[in-house]
Amino acid sequence: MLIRLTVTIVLYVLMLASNASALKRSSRKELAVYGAMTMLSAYAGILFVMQKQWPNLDTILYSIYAWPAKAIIRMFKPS
Amino acid sequence: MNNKTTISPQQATLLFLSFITSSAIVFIPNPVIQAAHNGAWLSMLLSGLCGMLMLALVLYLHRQHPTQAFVQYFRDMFGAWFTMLVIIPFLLSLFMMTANITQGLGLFLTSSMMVETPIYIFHAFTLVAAALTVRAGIEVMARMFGLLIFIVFATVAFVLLFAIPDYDPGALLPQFNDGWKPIAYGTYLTYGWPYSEIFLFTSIFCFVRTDTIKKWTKSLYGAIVFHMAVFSIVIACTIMTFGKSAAERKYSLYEVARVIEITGIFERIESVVGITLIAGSYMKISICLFVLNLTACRLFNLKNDRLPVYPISIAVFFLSVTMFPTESEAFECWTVVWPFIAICFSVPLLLALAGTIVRNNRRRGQAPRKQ
Repeated sequence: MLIRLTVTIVLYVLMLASNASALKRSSRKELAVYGAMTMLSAYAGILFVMQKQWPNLDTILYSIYAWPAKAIIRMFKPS
Repeated sequence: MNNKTTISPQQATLLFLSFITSSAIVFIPNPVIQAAHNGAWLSMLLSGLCGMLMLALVLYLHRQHPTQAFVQYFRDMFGAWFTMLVIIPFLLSLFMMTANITQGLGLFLTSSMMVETPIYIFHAFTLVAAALTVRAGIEVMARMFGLLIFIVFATVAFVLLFAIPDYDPGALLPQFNDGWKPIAYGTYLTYGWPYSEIFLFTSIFCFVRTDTIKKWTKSLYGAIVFHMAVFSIVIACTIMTFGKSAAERKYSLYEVARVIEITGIFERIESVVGITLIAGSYMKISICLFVLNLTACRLFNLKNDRLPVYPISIAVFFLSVTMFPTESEAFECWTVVWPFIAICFSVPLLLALAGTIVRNNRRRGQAPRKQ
């Protein structure tokens, strides 16, 4: 867990350090989009550090696409 | 990364070829052979024909809106809210796609070459390299990928040529023994991955200089034909090398490279295939990140196109290491769910086509009245 936490912190520090000057000049909208993206990644980051199996992007996409995808595959299987 | 940046038609063709070939050359043969058995080569050719239709659609939209990315002309036709409704699921799918490619590379390296290294180390380095490339812009990508795609094809040719002594052409028979269903299944798989992903080029072709569009489209179709031929050859060579057990070899090209043994000269040259996969995955991840970033910027009308690249890359990194904890879950996603998601990319494309046709008809109707 410590190594994972270190990797996460290093990535965020690098990201913020390289974007710091651009962020100072950014509009509110740009900051909002940047913040939203960072929050989304932070959720997945928590799952990564804590090694939890909480709902993720695949949960959302599977709830929409999985059943028709599986139905199509069944159609192709020889009876 | 603004609209003033342009690439030449030749560079666009190389980007296109890099994208459709990329990591797929190592990953695709196994699931297609599993699905279509000895008829896998035919599935590849059939899906390539469908891919040409997809390309024709993308090029038609590009001709109608030569200077705009997909999200821009979609918003012009359908308004901001409907665009959000259609593009946000597409963006989420693109996040998943980029994370999947990254995970594919990580799984390959940790299961075959560097088994003791944590998978997230590979993901982190690959995504850092891809993010820096995207920040450098489409011109740099186009120039660099020309060399990388040459290395990929040279490596594939090298492996296939040196494996000739191990080929058994008789293993290709019988053909079409199980009827049409396996071939249709293989066609579905390979159309979903990589041909329907051509949709992403609706956001890249707007950077191409538009003065030579007719000559340029021919080379794009040529790239698809070349791609179909190379993939069919790789599939046929895999079947000729392993016979019925070809369907069980996960990274087919890597497995073909493992059997090559010219004592005293070439041994254990499978690591060369690792180069193919790393270069291919890196190119595809870079293109996906580029489109992801561009679509997000155009969707939210951001002035600074480079600002979201790093947060997007970090999100992709964490998704790639958290979505599918086991290899079998990831494999199920690639072969069962992903082809369908990729085929659903056609929905916004068809909506844009319908919108463009309606717009053109209206303009034609208005023109005589003005006269």
